[in-house]
Amino acid sequence: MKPFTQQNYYELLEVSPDALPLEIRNAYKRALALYEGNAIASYSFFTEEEREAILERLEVAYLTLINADAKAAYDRLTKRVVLGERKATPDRARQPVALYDFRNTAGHVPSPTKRIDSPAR
Amino acid sequence: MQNFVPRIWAIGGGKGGTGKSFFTGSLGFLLAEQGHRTVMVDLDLGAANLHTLVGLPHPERGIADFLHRRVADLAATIVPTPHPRLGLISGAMNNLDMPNIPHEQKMKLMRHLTRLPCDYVLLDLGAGTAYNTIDFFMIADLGIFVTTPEPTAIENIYRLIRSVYIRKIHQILKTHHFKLFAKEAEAHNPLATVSNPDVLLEIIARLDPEKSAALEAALEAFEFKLAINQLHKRDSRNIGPLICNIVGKHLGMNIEPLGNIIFDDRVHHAVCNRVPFLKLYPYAQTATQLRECCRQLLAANGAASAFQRVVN
Repeated sequence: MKPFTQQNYYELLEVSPDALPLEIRNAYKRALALYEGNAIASYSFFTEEEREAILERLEVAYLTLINADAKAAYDRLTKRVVLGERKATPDRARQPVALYDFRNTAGHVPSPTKRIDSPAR
Repeated sequence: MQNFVPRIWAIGGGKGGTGKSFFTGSLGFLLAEQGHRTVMVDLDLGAANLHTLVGLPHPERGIADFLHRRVADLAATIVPTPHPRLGLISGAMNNLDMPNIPHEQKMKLMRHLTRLPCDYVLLDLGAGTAYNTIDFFMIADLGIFVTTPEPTAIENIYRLIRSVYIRKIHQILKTHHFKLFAKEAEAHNPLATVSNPDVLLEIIARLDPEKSAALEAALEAFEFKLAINQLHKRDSRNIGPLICNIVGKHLGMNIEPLGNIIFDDRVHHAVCNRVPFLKLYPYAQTATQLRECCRQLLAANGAASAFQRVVN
């Protein structure tokens, strides 16, 4: 499991990205019941500072996901992060192979003897 | 030549009085009832009393005979109980030094435990977080924590879970590397090797990604169950899953709720009569819940991977 400190807002609240506002609200309530000061299940597991930091993080997650605009902005940001990560390690085997790159082949006529199913070299 | 490879289940809890021995005795009774040759081992060496719960007030032999070399094989100390297929190795002994058995004796005891001639070995561990308790979790195929839904017991169960977790990291990394990483982690957070093992894991991931990956894989294979005992009417039925959720999220440890066992006054009556509760009240709700726990443990048996045994 991903460490708690590295979990995104959806993982923190244990909701799916397409969760409805009511589901997000209920998830937040569940999380509060788990981490609030008088919760018996988390008794003694955290120091007061740790507990406050967790509650603060949960609140930010809730306020972001419950607000449609903030949620959209967060989704865009996280998508960009994911896309950025993918760009850094491209999976070449799964990428489609271009037969011709029109920018590079402009003005050149492909040889009629060249097989069209062989990738450009 | 070794003929037996028993499944070892360790039953522990951080606090005394949470019902570890009661749970062990009940589980032993149920396994034997279902035809499994079962041996219960009372490893609460300072305060052994499992023999009383199964109706054996004065066991003739016990672990002390093995540790004092009066018998060469631990199997020779198994005492039959009044219940078919159920044996007991008693921890009751007169020597006051026995709770603190030396390391060599502990290793020898562990080696013999893994060769007992039976299908299941149930280790009834004492309260607390001493190495002599925690190390028996390390040789078990399955660790079962028993707690009551009270803050004092929950506080101690968290302490025990963390201790087992850190001990496991220590065991995987070996002492030299563990000390190196622990020193580094404690510089960031003095509690990294006490209550914040996640800090220790982060440091290991940063300093040695290869070791970190191996450690993560080994910790994922580490599997535990949590039983909530003596649940009262007003207690939350959801306390077990919530505790497991916290441990999973913040320690990354696989611990699954086993179920609730409700408080029943008649347990006291059964203990006073030195007769297994399941025998006296087989149709009580508590008995049904104990049976369900046993069923779940047997079902999980196939899926559970054996821990790396440190004794060999």
